[in-house]
Amino acid sequence: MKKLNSYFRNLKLRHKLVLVFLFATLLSLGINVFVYVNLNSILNKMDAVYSSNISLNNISDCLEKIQTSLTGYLETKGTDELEAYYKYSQEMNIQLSNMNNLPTDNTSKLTERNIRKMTENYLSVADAAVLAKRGRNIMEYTKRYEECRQLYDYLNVYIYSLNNEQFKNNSENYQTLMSSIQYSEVLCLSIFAVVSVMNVLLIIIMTGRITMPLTTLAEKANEISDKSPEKVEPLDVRYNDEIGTVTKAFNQMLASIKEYIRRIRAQMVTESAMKEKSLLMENHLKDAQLKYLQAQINPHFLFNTLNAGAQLAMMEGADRTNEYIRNMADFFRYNVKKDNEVVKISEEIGLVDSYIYILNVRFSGEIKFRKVIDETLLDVRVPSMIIQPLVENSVKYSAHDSDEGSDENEIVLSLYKKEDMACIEVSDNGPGMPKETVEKILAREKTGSDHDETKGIGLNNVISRLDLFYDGNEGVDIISGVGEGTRIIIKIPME
Amino acid sequence: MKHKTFDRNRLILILLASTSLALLIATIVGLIYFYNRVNDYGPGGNEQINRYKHVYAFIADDTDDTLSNSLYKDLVEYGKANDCFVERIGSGLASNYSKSDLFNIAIYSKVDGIIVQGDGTAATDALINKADKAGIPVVTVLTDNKNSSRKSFIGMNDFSVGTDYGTQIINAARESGKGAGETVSVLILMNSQYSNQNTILSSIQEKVATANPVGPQIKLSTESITSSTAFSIQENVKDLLDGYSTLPDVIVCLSDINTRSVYQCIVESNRVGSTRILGYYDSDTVTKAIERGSVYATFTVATEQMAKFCVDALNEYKEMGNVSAYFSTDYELITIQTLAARQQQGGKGKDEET
Repeated sequence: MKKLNSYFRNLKLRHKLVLVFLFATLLSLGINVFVYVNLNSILNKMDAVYSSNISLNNISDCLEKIQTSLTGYLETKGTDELEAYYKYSQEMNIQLSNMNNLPTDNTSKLTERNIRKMTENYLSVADAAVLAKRGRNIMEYTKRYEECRQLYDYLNVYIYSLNNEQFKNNSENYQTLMSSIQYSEVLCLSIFAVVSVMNVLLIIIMTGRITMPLTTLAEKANEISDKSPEKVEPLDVRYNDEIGTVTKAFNQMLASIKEYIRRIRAQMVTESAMKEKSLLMENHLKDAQLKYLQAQINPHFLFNTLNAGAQLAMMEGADRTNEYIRNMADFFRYNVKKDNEVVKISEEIGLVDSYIYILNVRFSGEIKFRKVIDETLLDVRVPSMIIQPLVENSVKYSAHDSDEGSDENEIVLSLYKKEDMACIEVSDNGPGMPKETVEKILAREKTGSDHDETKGIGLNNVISRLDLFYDGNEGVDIISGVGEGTRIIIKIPME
Repeated sequence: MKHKTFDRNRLILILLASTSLALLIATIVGLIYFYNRVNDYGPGGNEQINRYKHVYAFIADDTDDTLSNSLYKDLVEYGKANDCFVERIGSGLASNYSKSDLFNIAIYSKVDGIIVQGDGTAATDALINKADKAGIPVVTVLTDNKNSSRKSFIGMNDFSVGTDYGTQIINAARESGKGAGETVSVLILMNSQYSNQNTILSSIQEKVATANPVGPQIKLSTESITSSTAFSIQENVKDLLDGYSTLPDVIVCLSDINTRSVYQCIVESNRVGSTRILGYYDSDTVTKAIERGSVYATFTVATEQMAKFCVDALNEYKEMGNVSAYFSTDYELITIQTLAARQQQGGKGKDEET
């Protein structure tokens, strides 16, 4: 059954339909043949019902003809009569061979046997009469003829009686067969009805099985158009026919749509995040630039002015003044040129050098600045303006706030490599920061101590820009405590 | 919603399938029934046909005679059990034939043997001889045809039967209430065609003559019924009895038809009790009459035994070529007392010899 089912599933749609209708047609044909054979059999039986009567009538007719021809021959010795006598005697012998010859308890059959035996006797007596007639033995053939007459009478009574008896029986059989035919009609109609119902049922089931996947497919298609394709489950592929192929293609299409939607969604999320990041970067930079501009007040003007001053100092032979003014000019130029750029660490260090020179001229060499540089890292690229603000911070909170002229105030800028990261460390031995301030800065929160941020570029700004630039892959560490100095370490990925 | 529709469709399909299956089963059952019916009633009819080695013809004097009917029934029954069928030749025909015709038919039909109710007449002797000449053995039953070439006779001992009739006549005379010197008239009805009744009559006369001389004198008289057909016998008996202003004290009937005819005439003429009837054979009518006291006594024939002897005799002759010439069968006296005893024993005493 399972094999049959599996075979049916694997058939082509056209073959399936052909198979279903062929089966239904064959079933109808089979029933028709069955009904035909059935009715034919009954009709044959009906034909045979009165055959025994017909046979007896034939015997009776034949006997009568024999008797007539015998009488005629004995009367006139006519050859026609003799010929007729032999002809009918032969015919009679043929007919007798079909009759019962054995003792039985069946009345009709026993009577049949008696008729056969008596007829045989009759024929032998008649033959003897004919023979006697030929020998012109009048006494003999008259005696034989009388015997024949007697036998003829007996036979007529026997045939008549048996005919009557058989007619009675046959009529009963006929009635029975007639009623059987009526019954057969009802039966055949019932069979037709049953088979028709079964046929219809079969066609409903089979066409249902064939069209059901199509309906399901259509429903799924509607489902996709009505709601999100992501919520639609793929169809089961049960058949290997054309519908099975379409279903497979449908499932593939559904999977492709789902994948496409997923990709678009992911892309949108990424784009949105990138856009947000870019905006934030821009925002912070603008913020830094604003603060810087506010702090520096027209650096271009200052830069040009300072260059003019440097040239004047050179003409006047004032070398130190010239050096000082040139450093100032570099400092301001860097600010003008490198905004919103990625720069080498060496350039950042150059800016810090200029800044410290200016401050030392300003504060008469009070600021002790030391560099510990791993020169292999000088080409590592970083966002601009990240070291100078840290140094400025240290200057502001250590050298500036500490006791005047103290030799202990020193700012150290270190560049070294640690765990595949370029580390930029700015340390001072100033008063340091409370732990809470350090935690807030590291948590990227605004600190109360940034009230004077307008004067320099704040630590927060640097950290925020680094976060945006490196997607949080950089490391910022602040080691500080009140009276313990401050170490700000920035770990930058080397790639 | 869809699930519900699916369930409903499934239910409809199951219902349709069940209905179709039920109809299919009904159709198959109907078909089997139909085929059985049609096959049962084919052109050959639905009768069972048994074949036998021999067929014997039975020729009785009177086809309506209860005794011969009973005998024929037993012949068929016993014959079937012994691979032969006994045919009542001439029965079921559109014409009634004489004994002579029936003999001819039996001979022409080449039966294997003939059982004939003998009558002792020369005509029957000739018929028996004719059959014998045609190679068909004949046995006589009930009454013999001593002078024929019959192979065997199966019947009661007539002399013994006559003696027992005589005894019953004497008993009836005693019970008549008549004393010494008075005469008890006894009428013996005989049938002219049965020669053996003369032997019975002689035996009766002999027995009555030896009766006790102290009792009433018994006067025997005989009447012969000449008719041979059932209807005319009854008419003859009626005519005869109507001729008696006073019925004889005892009427002895030596045949079944005589017994039934006499009994019927007595009942019709409302003269029950005015005579004592000694009958022959225990047909239902006679048995009921004995129960009512209308018939004094009757003799019954052991037909089963008689049938057995007839069939055995013919079979033996067919096999061996000869057979005993005489088989004596049993008979039984039935009175109201023996009938009661028989009913109590469930009819066991029927075959017991008196």
